[in-house]
Amino acid sequence: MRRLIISTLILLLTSIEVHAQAAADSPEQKLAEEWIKRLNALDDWYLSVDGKEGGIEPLVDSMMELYSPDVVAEVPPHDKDQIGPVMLRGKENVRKWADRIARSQVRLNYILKRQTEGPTGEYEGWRLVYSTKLPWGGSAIAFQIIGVWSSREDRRRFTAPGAVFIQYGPDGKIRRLRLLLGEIDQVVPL
Amino acid sequence: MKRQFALIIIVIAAVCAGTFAFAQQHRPYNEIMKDVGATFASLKKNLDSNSAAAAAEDAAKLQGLFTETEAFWAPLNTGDAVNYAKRARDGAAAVAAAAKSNDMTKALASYAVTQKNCGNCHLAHREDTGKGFLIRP
Repeated sequence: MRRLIISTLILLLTSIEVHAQAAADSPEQKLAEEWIKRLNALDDWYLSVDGKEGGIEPLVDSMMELYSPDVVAEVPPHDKDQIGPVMLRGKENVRKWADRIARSQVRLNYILKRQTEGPTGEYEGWRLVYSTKLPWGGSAIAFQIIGVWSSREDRRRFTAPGAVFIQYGPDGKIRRLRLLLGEIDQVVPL
Repeated sequence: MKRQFALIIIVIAAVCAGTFAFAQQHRPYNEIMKDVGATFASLKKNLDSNSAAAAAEDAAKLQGLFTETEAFWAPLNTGDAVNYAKRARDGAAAVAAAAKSNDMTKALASYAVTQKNCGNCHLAHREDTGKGFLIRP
């Protein structure tokens, strides 16, 4: 009887692990992680000893490799006077947005939100990526995020829950992006 | 007469431009920091051995070095680093003043304040690669 219980437990744990691995290895998961990785890398540059900003361009280039030339992106407002999201049309405008992040924000730490089935399982478990095929060709993914970043100018740190919706064309390039960030709060030490 | 006047104006303008350009330049940051490190170590040694005059001299040198540090950060849109440099310079000034008046306890307290600003700035803007340091914006 004991052997049966132990065998069942092992089988159960193995199947959970295999399932988790399959979710983590899915192409949609990789697309989401790649987008987050390149976004977070935008602050990964340094100043030279003579005060020159170096290495920003390759990081922005790396981010922009993901986008189609005719991309349409809806992103959070750039400045205090802007109310509501900003619609960017074309790769050059999205590039300006990415460049602005690279130059004005530091310690970028956007993460895919995790979840388990239980009612309180919000901070551990799987990083869920929802996906669908688009009727006009290509595919789309959506995932929840938590955005964390600091202002380069004064080091104030912010956090915001959010969601990302990305549509890919048949060529695998991003045609539409919607980045939603809500309830932006400043992180203040207790 | 007019030609001479024009020549004088041109010479004065050239001297002003040269002076301004010189003021805009600063030493490489690693050189400034190496000088800060050596002077800071010397200051601590002099404070510990109650050598007030030498300590005051080191603190005065540090004031100049932190002014250089502030000038490095000023155009780089990093207000926190500028403020750390300013506070470190003020701390060094307080060390110098206390050492001149032979108040070594006060000098040591101001030294600790200065050191704290150095540490905070390094935490935010210095990245140790194992082979050296990188400057984070």
